[in-house]
Formats: sequence, structure tokens, C-alpha cells
Amino acid sequence: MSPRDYLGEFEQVVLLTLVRLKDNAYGMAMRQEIADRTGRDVGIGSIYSALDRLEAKGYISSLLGDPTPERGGRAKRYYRLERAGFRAIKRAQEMQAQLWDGLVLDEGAFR
Amino acid sequence: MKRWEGPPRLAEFLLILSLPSRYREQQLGDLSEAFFTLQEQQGRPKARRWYCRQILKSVIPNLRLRMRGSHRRVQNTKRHHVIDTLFGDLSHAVRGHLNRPGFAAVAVVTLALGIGANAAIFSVVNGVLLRQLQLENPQRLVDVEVSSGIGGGSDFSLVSEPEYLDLGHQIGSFAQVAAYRGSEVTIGDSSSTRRVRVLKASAELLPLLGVEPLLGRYFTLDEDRPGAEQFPDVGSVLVLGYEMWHTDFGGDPGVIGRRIVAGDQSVTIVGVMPDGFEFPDAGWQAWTPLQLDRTDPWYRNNHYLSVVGRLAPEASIEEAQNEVDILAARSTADHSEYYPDPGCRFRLRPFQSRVVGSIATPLYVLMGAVGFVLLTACVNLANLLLARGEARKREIAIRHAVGASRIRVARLLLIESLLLAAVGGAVGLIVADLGVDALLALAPAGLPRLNNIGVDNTVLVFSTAIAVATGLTFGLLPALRSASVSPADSLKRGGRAFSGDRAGNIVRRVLVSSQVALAVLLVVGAGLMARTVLEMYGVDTGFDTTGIAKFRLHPSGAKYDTPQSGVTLYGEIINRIERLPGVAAASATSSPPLSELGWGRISIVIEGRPAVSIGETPAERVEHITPGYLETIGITLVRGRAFTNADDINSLPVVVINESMASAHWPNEDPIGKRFRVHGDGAPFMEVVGVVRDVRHLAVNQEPSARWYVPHAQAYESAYTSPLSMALLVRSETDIDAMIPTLLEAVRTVDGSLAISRVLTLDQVFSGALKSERFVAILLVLFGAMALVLAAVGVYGVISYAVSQRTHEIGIRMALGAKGSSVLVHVMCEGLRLTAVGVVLGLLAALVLSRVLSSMVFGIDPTDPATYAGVAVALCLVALLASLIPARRASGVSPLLALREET
Repeated sequence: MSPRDYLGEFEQVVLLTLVRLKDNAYGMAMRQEIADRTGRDVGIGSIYSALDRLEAKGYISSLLGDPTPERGGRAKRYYRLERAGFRAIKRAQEMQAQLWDGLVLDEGAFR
Repeated sequence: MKRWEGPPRLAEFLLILSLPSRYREQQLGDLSEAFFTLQEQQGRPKARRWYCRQILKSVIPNLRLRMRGSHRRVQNTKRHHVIDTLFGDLSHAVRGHLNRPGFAAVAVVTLALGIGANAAIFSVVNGVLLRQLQLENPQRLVDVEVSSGIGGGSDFSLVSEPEYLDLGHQIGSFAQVAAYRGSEVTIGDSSSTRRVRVLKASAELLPLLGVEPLLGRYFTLDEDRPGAEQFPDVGSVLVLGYEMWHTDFGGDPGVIGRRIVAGDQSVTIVGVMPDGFEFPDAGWQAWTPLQLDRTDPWYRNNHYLSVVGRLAPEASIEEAQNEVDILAARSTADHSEYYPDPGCRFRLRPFQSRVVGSIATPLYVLMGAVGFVLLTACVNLANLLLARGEARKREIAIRHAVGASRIRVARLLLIESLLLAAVGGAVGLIVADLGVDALLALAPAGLPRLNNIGVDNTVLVFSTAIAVATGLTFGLLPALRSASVSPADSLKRGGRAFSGDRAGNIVRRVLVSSQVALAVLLVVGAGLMARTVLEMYGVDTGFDTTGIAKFRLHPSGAKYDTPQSGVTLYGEIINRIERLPGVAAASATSSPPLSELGWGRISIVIEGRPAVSIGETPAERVEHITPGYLETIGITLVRGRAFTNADDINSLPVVVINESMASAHWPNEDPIGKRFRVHGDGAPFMEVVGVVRDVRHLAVNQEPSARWYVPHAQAYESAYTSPLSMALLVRSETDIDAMIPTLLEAVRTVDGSLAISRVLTLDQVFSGALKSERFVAILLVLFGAMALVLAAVGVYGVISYAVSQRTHEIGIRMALGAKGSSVLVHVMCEGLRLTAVGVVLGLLAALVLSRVLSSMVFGIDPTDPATYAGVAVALCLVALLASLIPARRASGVSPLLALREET
């Protein structure tokens, strides 16, 4: 991937949540984590849409787990961060840090 | 039928449709896992709502996922000929819509609401009206009613015992005739009691209905005899309903032969009815023998039985009606004392129409209304597509130019419409699923066959059909028009119509006018029903409802075996309740207003006016009350006095009458001091001591009728009987809801074994009585609002399109000196003209169709001029507003820019 490819805001949310959940990163767990942490009640479809994009870019990879009865006999797909994804998220963090560097944002800023 | 435990299947199906196969497994799994967790924690309805919301949110991202996948595939395989197939058109249509998400979203939302609302209402109509009763050949069942002419009335109502027996013996068109009546029985002994609704039926009933018991047997003719319980080998018997078998006996198959205490006597359970057996409607928990005396029936003037007959093979309901007409004439001749002019008449109706009763008309009205909403939505979409067709002329022309046939182009456009309709329909099904829940929450309590209502296969077929019909309705016209474009012309003009396409404009105008007409129709209906509800809330019922609680007590007849013991019991209970802090007044009545049928008419003999026969005597409704009743419920005393505790069995019999009764029997006379007695030998005369204002006792929208009140403490001497089961009414100075537990506790301290039922506040009773009208009104207002918004959008669309087409012309006018304000007025007038045609048509249609509402409106005429005028003005205002935006745009046209555009 070219270094010009920046992560979208929601992609960042999804990637960070994925890292945070470690071995338990699958769709519904991520949805719940995002809802708990950010208060955003997103649809499961949006999560998979973002994951699909990230996987296509090679940032993450996935693995199908075993089916369980409480899921109506259907399997989970677990996601894992890849090196390219690691670099992308680092890049996003650095960019943020640089943008914030030395900046004081107070009520006066928007006058 | 076992209830489905998993996630809503419809929603799941929609998800599967929207999902690419490679994501199906995990997304469905994720959702059902979360669904089950949520269901366990917060209950099924909440989990269902959450699930449906999730799916609605996910449809668009999932479709995007799907597109991404198919792009990849097309790129990989380079199968360009795919575009020549139907699937190619489809995916082209999908992409086309995704490229113009605004239009697609508007269309899908409009359709989803339209189709969803239709499917939801249809689910109710289907469950209540269309689905067959679960009985053998239910269309051969006939409901029988009689009109005896007593009291000068011509209402068809219940049947007396001799009449029922005549029907059974003398009518050859009936294979069998059965009689039944509803009752309530206290089940259990003194330790724990509860009230159960039991249907007392003659032994013919089940064989007639053709339903076999699930376990055991139905009762026999021997058991259906008076005094049968005294024979030890027969005893009194009971057949359990499926639900009661489960709730009270845990579905134990060994229940047959067990004895339980019901209504103070020991009865034997002989059978269990299968699941889903409802007769005559839902809510009956058990069946016992009616035990009427067939050799010595009760008087002909005691009408208390419901009768159902099964037509004999080959016989028609008309033949049966002819036969009962002859029977009626003979009965009138033989027993003229019971059948004053116009004499005895029978009415036969298909049994199903009795079950659905008065709900059929409102449901069909709603079905029609919601159909009109969908039609309005279709018109809107057709207009949108037509306008888009103009904008796409160039694209279409190029398609023609590169060799696409007209049919191909029309097919593509039609597929676009059908795709919108399909997605709209699928989302609409979710709307319907949620909508049905909302409808049932809103529905009147008496909605029959409630368990039958839901989104089932019939509803699915119906929704699919209307989705396809919708897609064709709004897609066909634009598709045909676009396909008929001459490519050369369009390309020459560079895709920009010079002064608009005349024919296209006329079509659009006709469409919008018809839309306005439909909106007028719906808003008039909504207005009439909304005013009906307001009128009903505003009507003076003659009694108070605030701060009053009501509950019925059912003392055991074995324990209170003398009339006086019942009177004493109620005295004690009222005494105790009155002493509770916060209680302003307490009393008891045999029939509280607006709630139960209560007591029927009793024949009376007025002093000095001897009656020849019972048929000639007046008959009026009676209510047994305790002192303080008038005060508790706020009925105004007009003359004389109310009852006191001194009006007991040892004092002179007294009675209080209402104004209707006073003017009916003592017009232009002072009724105080007049005397009358109940029909029959030895009844003492009662003296009228007071006159009270009329009360709308039976229904809010029913005129008050004559009524007399008799003291509970005297009634067993003066009016046949003092009922043992009475409703207690308590008026509180503080919060009545909080007080109810204390009241019930106080009752139990007097007698712990009393069964108590129907605990409600009178406010709840009152709003329950209006529920049916409110149900129709709320839905019609909702549909009216939808139609209004759609019509406004339609007017806006057409005017705004007209303005954009005429920018050039307007520019010239303004260059020649026309003022901006005159352009504004000109454009708005055009909008108004368009609307006026629709309004006139709509008002005419409403005048014709409002007749179907006549049985439902109250307090106003279905052709109420104020409502019609108001709706007309409102529609015109909305149309003016809708055309204001394009009009402002037109008046702001810069002549220079408009003219320059041409070159």
C-alpha cells in the first residue's frame, strides 16, 4: 500500500477495537466494544463493510472459527492485525500527534 | 401452534438477500448470538426490535459489500456478455440506484412505509376476517337471533328457551341447533379462588361444530338435564379448554375423571378441547352443560340464550330463513301475549359475521385507506421517475443509438422500478412485522380472534403481490414514455428540452391532481374520525370517572345462602372501605357504567294502568345499588331524594328513576310519589322517591335510555332478587391507583375467600370504551398525514420541474419588464390551479365514500361541511407552501443568465 493511503475515521475505530479485543475480535464483539467505548450504536453490516475494506487493503486477515449452538450453529470469523495494518494505524497516530503538537484548543479558537 | 423462538425470520431473510454469501455465516451467527443474549436479558419484544433495527442499518452497507464483490468478479473473468442478460440489467439497476442514493432512498422509504402499512393492516384483516374458523365447514353455521317486539323494540337479540326448543324441533333446514350462554364461575375452594369464563352449552354444541375433544369426551344429553348433578353416577361435568388444561393442570393427561370445585359444587372433568378451539370467540376457558329443562322451559319473555344452527345438507340459509319466518308467524299467533306488534321475528346470519361483528367495517375502511396511501405513493414515484426520465433522455438516446431496442430500454427501466419495489417491499415486511405489534397494542380489547394475527404466508404472498403491482404501477408509464423517445431528437437537443414536453407535462399534472384528490379523501376521513373521538371525549356521560376504582366481587352462594346475608356482606365491606383514610365515598352496583352488559329490562306494572298481557307491559332496565352510589359516581339528583341506609327490608319499598323513564311514563306529571311494581304476582308496589339525570350507561355514543334504581337491601322483596355479585365503586381523594391494593386488602379482611375480578379505574373503563374509535382515528390520521406529505411533495415536484423547464421563458419575461413578484404569483397560481382540480375531485369522492363511515362517526354528520371546508383549505395551503419554494426560485431568475444559457 502506498503511504498516501490514510485510514478513514471509522476504519480507525474498527482497527483500534480489533487490537483491543486481541483473540476475541469478531463482528458482534467489536460492535459491542464500539458501543461501550464510544456510545455509537452501529449496524453490524457497517462493521463488516469496514472489515472487508481493510482486509482488501491487506491490513488485516481473518480466520473462520467453529460453529456454536448459541449462534444457531453458525461459525464466527476472527480478525487479526497484519503488519501493513499495524503501520497504517501507527501512521494515523503519528499524524494526529503532529497535528495536535503545540496546539491549545480552547473556547477562543472558534471566534 | 408453537411459537418461533429465534430471531424474526422475515428480517433474517432480508439480511440473507442483502448479504454476499462469503459474509452470510458470520454475520447471521453474530446477530443471532446477540439476539439470544438480549432476549434472555430484556425479553423478546425488545430483542426483536433491536434485531430489526440492526438489519435495517446493515442493508445499505451489505449491499455495498455485495457490489464490491461483484465488481471484483466481473474484472476477474471479463465476462462482458453478462451485461446482455437479465442479471446484467439487474446489477446495472442496482448500481444505477446506488449512484443516485437520494432518489433510491426516497423511493425505498416511501414504498417501505406504503407496503408495510398495507401488509400490517392486511395481517389484521387476514387474521380477523379472512381466515376460516377452526371448525368443520364453518360456512354452514348460522347464528339465530329473535325480535319479540316487547317494549316496542325491533332489535334482534337473544333467544328464549321455548323459542330455542321450537327451532330444534320444527326447522327442517337445520341439521342441529345448539344453545349457549356465557358465565363466570369461581374455581377452587376457600383457600385459593379464581374466576374462570365458562360457556354453558347444550349437549348438541360440539357434535354440531364437528370438533372432537383432544382427551376424554364432550358431555352427553343425560348430563345436560336440570338436576343431573343429583345423580351420583352422572354428576356435574366440565370440559377444559386447552389453555386452562395447561395453566391449571400442567397439561396432565390424567386429568380426566378428576373432581374440582367450581361454583360451589364438585364437578368432574370429562374432556379437554384441542389447542386453538375457540367458541363462540376467544377467551372461554371451559364448557359445562347448560342444563335447561326441555320438558318445562322458562317463559317466552326471558331472552337469554345464544343459538347456533348447522344447516342440513342441501339446505341454504334462505330456505332456513323462510322456514323460521313461518315458525315466527305461528308463534306470534299462538302466544300473542308474548309477542306484541310487530310480533315475533327471527334473523339468521352466517356465524362468522357474528364473530367478527362490528369490527369488520372499520377494518375494511382502514384497508381501503391504506390502499389509497400506497396509490398516492405510487403516483409520487411515477412522477419522480417521469422527471428523471426527462433528465436521462440523453442516456436513453445513446442506448438507442448504440443499438438497444426499445424493448430492452423499457425492460431496463422497468427492472429499475421493480428493484425499488422489491427492496421497498422487503423493508416493508419488517415495517409490517413491527407495525402489527403496534396495531395490536392499539387495538380495541374486543378485537376477535386476536391469536390469529401475525405476518404469515398469506401476508407474505399479499405483500409480494402488492410490491410487484406497485413496481408496475409506478414504473410502466415512465418506462413506456422513455422508451418511445426518438433518439435523433434528443441528441439534437443536447438532452435539454427547450420548453418542456407537452404530453409529459399533462401526464404529470393529471397524476398530481389525482394525488391531491386521494389526499383530500383520506384527510376528510381522518378529520371525521378525529372529530368523532373528540366529540366522544367531550360528551356529557352524566357520571364522573376521575379518582374512581371499580372491581367486581363474587361471593359464594353456598356461604351467603340467604338474600339478607348478601346484603349484610356488602354493608360490612362498604363500611370498612369508607373508614379507610383517603376514601371519599364507596358503594356497590349490579352494573357499573360502560363495562358489563349488566341487567336487562324488567317488565313493570304501573299503578292504575293494568296490563292485559306481559307483552303489553313496559320493560325497563334496572340497576341494584347501595346508598351512596349516586354520590360515589357523581350522578345528579334532580328531584326528591337518594336512598339512605334506612331504606331496608323493613321499610316501604322505594325506587329512584332517571329523567328518560320519568318522561316516558309520567310525561307532564310529577313522578315523585308514583308507584309501580315488577310483573308477577305478589310483588309490592315501589314508590318513586327521586329522579336523577340520565347517564350514558351502555356506550358513550349511545343515547341514554330509561332506567330505574332499586336499593340492594330491598330488591329481593321488591324486584325479584338482590344480586350476590356486585361491582364495588370507590371514589378517592388521593391517587386512586395507589389505593387499589389497600381496597382489595380491606375486602379480604371481611371475607378472604371472595373472588375479585375486573379491577380497573373508571378512567381506564372510559378510555377502553373509546378504543375502537380511537384506533380507527389514529390510523386514519396517520394515513391522512402520509398522503398529505406525499401530495405536497408531488405538487412541489411538478411545479419545480415546470419552473426549471421555463427558466428561459421567465428570463425573457423579466427582461421585458415583468416584476419578480408577478412571476411569483404566477407560479403559485399554477400550483393552486393544479391543487384545486384535485381538491374538487377529492371532495366529491369523499362525499360518496363517507357513507361507509356513517356507522362509526358520532356527534357529527359524515358530510359535515366544516370538516370538508377545513380539509379543502388545508390542502390548498399545503399546495401553496409546496409551490412557494420553486416560485421564489423563479422570481429570482436573472434575465441575463437565463438568456445567456441559450447560446
